[in-house]
Parts: sequence; structure tokens; C-alpha cells
Amino acid sequence: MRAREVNELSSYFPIDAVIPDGKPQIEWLSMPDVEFSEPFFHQTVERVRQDNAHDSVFTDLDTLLLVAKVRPAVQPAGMIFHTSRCGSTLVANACRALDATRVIAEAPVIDKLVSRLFTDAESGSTKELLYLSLVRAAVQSFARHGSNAVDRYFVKFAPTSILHIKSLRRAWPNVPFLILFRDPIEVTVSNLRTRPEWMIPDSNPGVAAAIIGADVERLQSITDEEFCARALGRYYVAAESVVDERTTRLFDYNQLSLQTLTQILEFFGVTPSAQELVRIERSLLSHAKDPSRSFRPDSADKKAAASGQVIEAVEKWALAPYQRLARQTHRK
Amino acid sequence: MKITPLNDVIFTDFDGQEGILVDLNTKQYYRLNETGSLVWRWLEKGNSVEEIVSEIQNTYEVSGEHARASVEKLLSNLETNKLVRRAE
Repeated sequence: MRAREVNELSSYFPIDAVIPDGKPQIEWLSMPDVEFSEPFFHQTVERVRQDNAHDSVFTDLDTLLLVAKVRPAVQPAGMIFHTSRCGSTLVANACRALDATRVIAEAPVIDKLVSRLFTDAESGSTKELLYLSLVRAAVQSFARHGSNAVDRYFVKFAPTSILHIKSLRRAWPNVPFLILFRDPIEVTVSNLRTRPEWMIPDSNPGVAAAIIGADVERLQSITDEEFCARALGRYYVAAESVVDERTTRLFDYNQLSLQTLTQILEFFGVTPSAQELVRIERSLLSHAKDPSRSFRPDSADKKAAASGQVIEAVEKWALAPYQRLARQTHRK
Repeated sequence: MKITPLNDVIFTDFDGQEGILVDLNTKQYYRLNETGSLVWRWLEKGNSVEEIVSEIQNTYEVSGEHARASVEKLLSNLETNKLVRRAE
């Protein structure tokens, strides 16, 4: 047992999965007493790096398993999946407003390990189990430990991870899964304005092709509108595949309110106190991803801004699965 | 007779349905089915081979002979792959 290695990592969190010189590794950063207060995990990492001169430590992937073995196995209170630009950050902020709660939002180490399922492991294979065990260990490393103790923690995945929701369910059979989705026209318009990394095929062509279910060679000829609409269509289908699970709840963006946020927290097993509700309500007033700006509903603006190309791509690739999902969600 | 999992072998259980063993030294990984996962968990708890055979017999309602053959086959595989240590 590499006890020394584990001891040395006692104040560290895994921050990324990287492949320097072709060898997959986990990057760890010392983050004692750090609060994950920013909307996204990478923003917290940037703050820590600015404030301190901590060096990263790199280990093999399996060190995650070793660390998970010796730390208490605490399951997340809930996991948040989403289909991009659909209120997941707002929900994450509501969770963050609870006392003694940690929210890990789109941590690269988690979503990059999940994305290995696209290219490195066939469904049902032993390698898939290996990656799932690594993802579970990575998630568990964010549970309470040492000076970073919290009562509960939530994990929000990057949108692409929803495509593996059935596999991920095997790793957490009893953890509440929340899925958020939104009208594909609004999401596509938003993603075309500020393109997320998953919409940049050059960053990882193999994964990009898998996201939309196309061959890598076809990527060059696919417009941004089509890429986004095809991805959204597949996200909705993935969500639909788990719609009947007892431990899964879905919400459309247009359903989100203080009342539904309270329902979501109750689904996660949390009844917010009066003080926590005040903080949640306050968080609704600001822009979820930039708390310095105030929130302004923009659904109508986004719909009005949709080009003919957007509408055509969405109608072809995403509208039908979205409508099916919306019907089933409202029925449930 | 006791068989002990080696410290550098890590087991991840998937809801009791199956599991995966990762040998940190060799970087090899092995899939265990439901019975294999059950046996591994009992080994981790320190159960003897006799106790494990008896547990398998009760859990799956099979004959002692059948249970012993299954357990011995699995343990032999685990030993061959240097995932466990046999102690008298």
C-alpha cells in the first residue's frame, strides 16, 4: 500500500485528468480550507492558484482508487445533469446556499474521466467498469475530509456527461439524479453566442464525433448550428432513457422558481431552513454564472434571435426529443 | 485456511451485481461477477474459505460440493493472478 502517497495527498483535491507525454495522469492541488464558492470548479482552482504558490502534484490514475479506499466512502447528496444553458448553475447555486454544503460544478477531473467512456471503453466492457470506478473515486475525493469537512456535497456534471447517465447510474444506484433541460432553440442561440468547449470539435475530434453520433471525417462539414442541435437531440434522448427511474427527476428550465428549487432540494433529501431559503431567494436575483450581474429572463430574446439555420437544425435534430421529454416531465 | 486480499489490490463494488479489481502494482484489472464480488467482500472481512463456502451454499441454495468447487476455482484464479495471499 502506498500509504505515504495517500498521506501526502491529505489536503489535496484532484483538479484535472491530463495526458502529458501520452501517459494518463491525475493532477492534484493542495486546497486546505478552501471553499468552493465560485459557480464553476475551475474558477475556484484559478483563485487558489492566484492566492497561493502551491505546486500541483501528478499521480497515476489509480491513485484516485487508493485515496478513495482510505477516506470515508461518503455518497453525494445529489447529482445534477443538464443539457447545457438550462439553469443548472442556478440549481447549483441554490445547493451552495445551504449550510455546510459543497458543490463541485463541472470539475474537469470528473467530466474528462467520464468522456473516456466515449472513446476508450465500449458499453458493457470491463474497461467501462474501470473508468466508472475511477469516476466514482474522483467524485468521492470531494466528500468531507480533514479540514475541508462539510455535511453534504453535490456534483454537477458537464452537459456531455448526460450521454453516459445510464452507466453512471451503475456507480451510484441510489443517489438522486436531477436532469435539467431547456427549449433547444434557446440553448442553441446561447451556445452560438458563447461556444462551450464541447462545441469546439478540434479540441477532441473523437469525443466531438461521439457526442453527435457521427464519424470524425464528417465533422468538418457540419455547421455549428447542426452540431449543437444534434448534440442536444442526443442529450434529450439520454435523459428520456432514465425518465421513469424512481431516483431521477427532471425539470424544464421554464419550470424553475423558488418553489421548484425547494422541491429539488427536497428530492435531494434537504429541507432548507428559513435562513437558507432567504439566501436561495437572493441567489435567484443575480445572474447564476456571474453574481455581480442581476438576472433578467431572456427566453423570448433568444427565441427572437434564432436564425433560419438554427430553427432548421433544431427542427431536424432536437425538437421532437425535446417535446417528448417535456411531455413526460410534465406528466410525471 | 485463510486467504487474504493483497493490500495493493483495490476492489470497487457496483451495487453487489459485479465489481472490478485493480492491481496497483501490475496495473492489471479484473472483472468479478456477482458471486466473485461476494467472495471478495467476505475475504476482505477476514472470513475463512470454509465460512465462504458455507455462505455461498446458503445464499445461492446450492450443494456444498458445488459451492466449494466454485469458490476454489475463483480463489485459484485470484492466486494465479497474485491478487490474494494464502495463509494456513
